[in-house]
Amino acid sequence: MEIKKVGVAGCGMMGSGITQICARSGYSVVVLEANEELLKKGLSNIEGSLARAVERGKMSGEEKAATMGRIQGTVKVADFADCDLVIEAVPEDVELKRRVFADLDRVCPPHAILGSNTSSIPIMKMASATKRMDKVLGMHFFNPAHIMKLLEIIKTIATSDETMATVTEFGKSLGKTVVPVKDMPGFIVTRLLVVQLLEAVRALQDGLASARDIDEAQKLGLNIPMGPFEEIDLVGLDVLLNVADAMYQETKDPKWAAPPLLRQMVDAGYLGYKVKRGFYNY
Amino acid sequence: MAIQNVLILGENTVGRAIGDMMSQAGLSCEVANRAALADQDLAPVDLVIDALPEPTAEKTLSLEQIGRRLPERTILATLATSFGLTGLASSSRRPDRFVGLHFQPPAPDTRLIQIVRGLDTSETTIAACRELVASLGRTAIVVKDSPGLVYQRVTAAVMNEAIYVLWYGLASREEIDSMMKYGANFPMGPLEMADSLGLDVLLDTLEELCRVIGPEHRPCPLLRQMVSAGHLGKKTGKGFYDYS
Repeated sequence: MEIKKVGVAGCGMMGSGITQICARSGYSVVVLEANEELLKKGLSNIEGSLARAVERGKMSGEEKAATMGRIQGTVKVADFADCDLVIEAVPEDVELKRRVFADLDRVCPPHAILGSNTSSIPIMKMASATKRMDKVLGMHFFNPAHIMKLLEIIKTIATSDETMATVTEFGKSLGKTVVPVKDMPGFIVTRLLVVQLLEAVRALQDGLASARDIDEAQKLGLNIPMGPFEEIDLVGLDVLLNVADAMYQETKDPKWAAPPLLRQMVDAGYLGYKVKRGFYNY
Repeated sequence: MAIQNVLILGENTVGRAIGDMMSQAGLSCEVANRAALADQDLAPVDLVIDALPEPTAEKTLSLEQIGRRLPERTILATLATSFGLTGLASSSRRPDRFVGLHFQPPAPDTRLIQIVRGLDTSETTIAACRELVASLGRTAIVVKDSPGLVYQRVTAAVMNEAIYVLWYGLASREEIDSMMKYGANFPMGPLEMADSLGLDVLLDTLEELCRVIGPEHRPCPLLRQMVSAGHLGKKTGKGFYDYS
């Protein structure tokens, strides 16, 4: 099956990046938000990101205009009626995602594939809200979605090989390295990253060293661009806590039990960069 | 106290590499074997670094003997930082002047040096070590005495989880490694990292983390099997990858 028109549900940090990379790769994209205000904000984020790409000489002004021209914003789910693929990128809340998938199943054409950008919720939870489980899979992009080269695609026990093949081709057409994985908690990258991040929080909680020093040790030792606390502040402490809780819920394995310090910081509202306070002050 | 005169015990690769690092920074440094210690004039020595392998009963005994012979002001440091520094400090009989130094491999190109504070290590000792690391042009991080320190503890957790992912059959070794390179900007995949470190070293670290910190660190059965089979990584030509 050939994908021509793509829908993206949600135009937040991930949704706007996904919309942008799809439109840049030549697809017509319909992007949905809950209300006009959020939609306007999401679209202006995309516009701003493209403007920076033009400034840096990564694309021409014409390409930017053409890319924006391929994006249609909407607040009505019915506008997905002629999409071949819809990628869901709403907040990590199982009930919300199940409602979105039930809606998508109702309005999308029978051939359409539905993908979820979740980083931690089992795909089967969303697939089972539809009557097309063979056409539902995980499409896990990495932040920022228009830059990071990896796309994890997640196959449930019901996803068809044809769906996997179509989305693999689609992912390659976006310039991504596509890796298929099974529908197990946290898939792979999230799982390994969360282990690293939770362990860093435990080391801080145990008083081994300061957040800054732990970051420095990881950066110098591993030669990675960002330390675990910088990463957590960027991702959001609440997001990490949700993922850890979901993994713990699913496996009951103590390694996913969130350290009390993380939960306290979330309770205190120190959610990271987005509120200017997390493990660092901004 | 500024450290100017260093004695390194252990004429092995690591001992010599650290010796080179010190000499290049203009410090007076000697690398000697423990047997030669008896003939050594210890009066001018500011810092003794014990570069002998990880702790054994023999090591505890030797630290006690060394500690007894050193001048009052001399700091005694050990590279054996992973397993209970405080215990070694106490056997050295100078716990306030006892410290752990962990040189992030590969020495001598180390960028990071973790200074390990035992329960009784004094502030003066820590300050002198900080100054030493600065004079070597490296970054110092002071950490508490705890299994795996900071860097090893966090990376061991990632490597162990990568091995679980492989064991569960979620993806192939190449897929796991390439995902962490593309998805998390790791310069090396966690399985490649484990092979370079040595699977036996990783297993020992995880066992200690599991024993002291908790079950979240229990080593993957696959790792244990690989070590039992003698597949220890790069050094034996076979680990998660084949190097023969």
